Amino acid sequence: MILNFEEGELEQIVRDLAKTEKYQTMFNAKELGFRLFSNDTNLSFLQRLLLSYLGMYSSLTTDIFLGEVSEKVLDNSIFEDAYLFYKSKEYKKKKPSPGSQLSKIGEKEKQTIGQSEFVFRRRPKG
Amino acid sequence: MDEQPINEDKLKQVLEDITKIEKTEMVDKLIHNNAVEFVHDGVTYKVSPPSYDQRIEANRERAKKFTEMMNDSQFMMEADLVKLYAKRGIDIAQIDKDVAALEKRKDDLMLKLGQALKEDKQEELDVYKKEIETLNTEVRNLNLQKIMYLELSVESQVMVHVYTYLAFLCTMKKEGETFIRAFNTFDDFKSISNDLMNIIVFYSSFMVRNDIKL
Repeated sequence: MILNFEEGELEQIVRDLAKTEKYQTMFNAKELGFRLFSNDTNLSFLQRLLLSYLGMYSSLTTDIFLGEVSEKVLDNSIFEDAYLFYKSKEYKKKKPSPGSQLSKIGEKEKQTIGQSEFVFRRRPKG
Repeated sequence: MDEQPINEDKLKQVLEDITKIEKTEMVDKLIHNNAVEFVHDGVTYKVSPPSYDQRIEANRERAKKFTEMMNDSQFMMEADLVKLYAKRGIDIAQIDKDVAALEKRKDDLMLKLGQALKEDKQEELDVYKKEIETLNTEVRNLNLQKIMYLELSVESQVMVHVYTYLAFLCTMKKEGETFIRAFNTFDDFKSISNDLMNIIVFYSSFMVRNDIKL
């Protein structure tokens, strides 16, 4: 049966499916060897889309679990997208820019490690 | 007993809900496998995503079609169409500028909404949401308008051709216990009934998308 999908409707359906407990459980169980799809390679467009939304909801539920944001974020797609957009911008802000002092220290450490090939760890106190 | 008048709005909503359930069930079923099988006129067909070789073949076809259409004076490139529309008073470049400005406003609101969610400022949430919804509709309408204006450009026509070509490449038919290529040539594919063509294109749209980029 051919059904007519409006612009963006298919994406919304896949997104809604990814948000369900069934798919979230399946996604989280993949580390236990659970297979989401009957094929492992050559994923279809639908499968690729589902995977991207599963990852997104997994990240959102982790943040809710950690108390970073309230469950209210899951009320609708706009809240979800807005929170993730804000989070990515905040992450970029916190990430040291290539010219910053913090970044330069990091670069220096990288060079030292690169030259000596050894990483010395400070012995824990006590 | 008095007959209750049918509430048309309610009926429309129920029908919409049923269609949504049907669509969701269909998508849910299609997701588990990277191939879909269907029977048409007693023949079992299978549509699956393109293999690496098929993508290469489709890309070759894209280049071929692009060159062919570029050399045909009845087709126009996107840039030429934009100039022609400008002469008729339709400013496509302005649509792009308007979309960019709306997107910028939307990004600002998304940031504010994201922060409000993080800080649990309940009273601000729905205000931002409504504004974003309005902007989304405006952006969608402008984008649709632009697509409509440029749908006859060489670039758009080549993409339509390539995705039809991919549907041709990705369709197999069952013979005995194995699946073989359903159509020997693209011309064979183009000569099939509208019914079969619609089903194949419909299913291939779930399997193939964003696989070929200009």
